[in-house]
Amino acid sequence: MSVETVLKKICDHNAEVTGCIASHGGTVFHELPEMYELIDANGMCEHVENMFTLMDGLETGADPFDQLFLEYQEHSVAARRLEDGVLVLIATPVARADFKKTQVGVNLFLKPLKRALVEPVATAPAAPEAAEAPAAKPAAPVKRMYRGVAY
Amino acid sequence: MIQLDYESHDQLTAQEILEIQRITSDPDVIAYALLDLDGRELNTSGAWSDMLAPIFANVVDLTGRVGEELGEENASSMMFIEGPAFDAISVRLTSTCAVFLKRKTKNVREVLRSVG
Repeated sequence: MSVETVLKKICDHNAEVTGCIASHGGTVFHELPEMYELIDANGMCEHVENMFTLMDGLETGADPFDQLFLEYQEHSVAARRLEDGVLVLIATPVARADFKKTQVGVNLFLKPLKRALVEPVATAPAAPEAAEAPAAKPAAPVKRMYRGVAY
Repeated sequence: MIQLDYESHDQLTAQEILEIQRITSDPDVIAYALLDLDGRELNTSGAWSDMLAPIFANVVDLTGRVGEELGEENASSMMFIEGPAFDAISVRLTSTCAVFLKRKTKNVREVLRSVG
């Protein structure tokens, strides 16, 4: 299953979740509806990663902070820290206590997501240049000529 | 227990002071910081008190940027950052931002069980 498929499943199975962004090793994947087309997915992941990194500065001696929930007027944002990135969920405005049930629904997809993220060869989207370039013709057999005669 | 410095709390309403008192009287709340809306430290107390305000000044700034990406006009009203052992909670008040660090009791029990 590709990363995008897992992200779509998270959105489809959780009514409150309206968009998903995941990052892994600097690569960002997202499942965002048209209304979020102006969102900078890379920027969102970067801000959330920086928040977790800042919290590491507390040096509590315990395992690091790994979940985040932000309440806004029009949205909620939940995030999970992954091994080499983050999962950011954009949701309808709900109180954190009400989001706990959704969190359980999201947790079901964490394993497939982590698996998909560490298989970048199978899941990474094709580079735009490669997609637009015409299909390469099979290489013609090399003909060598010696005084006008192929050999 | 967290000690409140009331002289630095002139930016709080009486109701906000009562609410902060109620929260900080919880023995699991081990640190507290009060910032103004520009991220300046007004008061800090408890564990990691040197670090709490500067870290949260930046974290609150980042929540503002996340909100901007989403087209939110107002800053985040509440923020929860969770770890296995601690919860960090930030609440936006009238003209300030209060930050609390809360120990997870369950985790303490687990630690005690592993020691005992």
